[in-house]
Amino acid sequence: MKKTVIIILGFFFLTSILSGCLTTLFPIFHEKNVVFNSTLLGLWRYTEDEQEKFMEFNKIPGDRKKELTPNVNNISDKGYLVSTKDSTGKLISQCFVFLAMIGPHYYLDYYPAEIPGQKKVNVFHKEHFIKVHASYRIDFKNRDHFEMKMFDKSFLDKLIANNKINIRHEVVDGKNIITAPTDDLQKFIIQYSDNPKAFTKEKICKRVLNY
Amino acid sequence: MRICFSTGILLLFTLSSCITILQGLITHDNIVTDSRLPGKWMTTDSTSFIVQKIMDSKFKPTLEELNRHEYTKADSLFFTKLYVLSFRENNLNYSWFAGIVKIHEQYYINLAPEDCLNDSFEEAYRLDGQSFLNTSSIAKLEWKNNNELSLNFLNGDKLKEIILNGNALIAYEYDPLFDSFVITASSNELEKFLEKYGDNEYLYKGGRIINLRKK
Repeated sequence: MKKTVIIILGFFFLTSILSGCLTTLFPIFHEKNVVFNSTLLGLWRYTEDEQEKFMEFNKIPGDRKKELTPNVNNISDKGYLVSTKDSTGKLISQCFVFLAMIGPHYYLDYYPAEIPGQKKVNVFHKEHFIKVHASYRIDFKNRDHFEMKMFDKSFLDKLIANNKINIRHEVVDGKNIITAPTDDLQKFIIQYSDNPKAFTKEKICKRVLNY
Repeated sequence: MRICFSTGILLLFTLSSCITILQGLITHDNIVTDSRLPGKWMTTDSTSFIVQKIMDSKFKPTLEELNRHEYTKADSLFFTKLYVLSFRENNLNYSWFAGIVKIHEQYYINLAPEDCLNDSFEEAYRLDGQSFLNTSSIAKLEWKNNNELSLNFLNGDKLKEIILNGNALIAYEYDPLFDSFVITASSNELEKFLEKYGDNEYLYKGGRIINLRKK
């Protein structure tokens, strides 16, 4: 039986993609789905793994747009640069984020953006890590409160294992890597958007600062 | 000395994109070893690399890990044939997994980055809150003699263009919006691709070349 090196190594060294969050090679949105909501701009507090963290939503600064492809740049005015910070205010990571209306709900699509510490990493090393998209459903409660919840990867894994869904994926490390194009992702999202089992526990975000 | 060291690596690794593959080329059936590979190596620009058998490296699994994952004998044998390549640049320590495959008398090396650690042993590239797909790349391994070898990487930009133009039949995914491209062919399909095109110099032209001499 053939097994790739990845399978063996994967027993020991799980990559970040293998967490409980559903990540996809393709974005969940088309340009036409993207909307901008100024309510998101500001600093938000939330709790994750029993730790207080902060998310800062800014418009994508002009000097950061060069990190995006020309096609994404066409919609970059509607995007956000989101900085995640720990309880001391130390920057953990950044992502380019797009708010999209898919079916009756809003979703956030997170795509990695480099912070200074990552810029000095060897280019050849970086090329081997393809940036992928992590998606959340977002529910605005009021101007100072929203909730976001991730798609639970194990839910989709069960659908695939039980042949209850036909969605393009590759099996690496014994894990499903979702390679379905945007249209198929949106079909999945619309079909399961109101199924609580499709999501992980919501992250409650409360406003700290308004920009 | 440090400046030369860093510049050398930067030059080596910024020439053109490598081709990224989702499934590794190496399998239980095709992996081979070469006793000439482990040791300290230096590029023509004095960049240092260390190559170790995985069982001699920091990645050697503990007995507890082996038991937990219920390895078969074949798995263990396969594991012993892997190598770890490491180097240091800009105060970051890199580790890559490497495996060798022989196809039509030609050796290829499959490289997959594993970690990039700062001096506090924290991962410096894959940060919390970001998501990445871990891929690997392939280079032709050419021994000039027992102490000199050359790694010729497939030119990723060229191969991507050929594939997207429909001139090479191999499974891939491409998102034009974010320009994400990855080859999704199975290990077996990759092997067949290299059987057919591995000797085609056009695919390597303009790709990275790393010339190594044993220290």
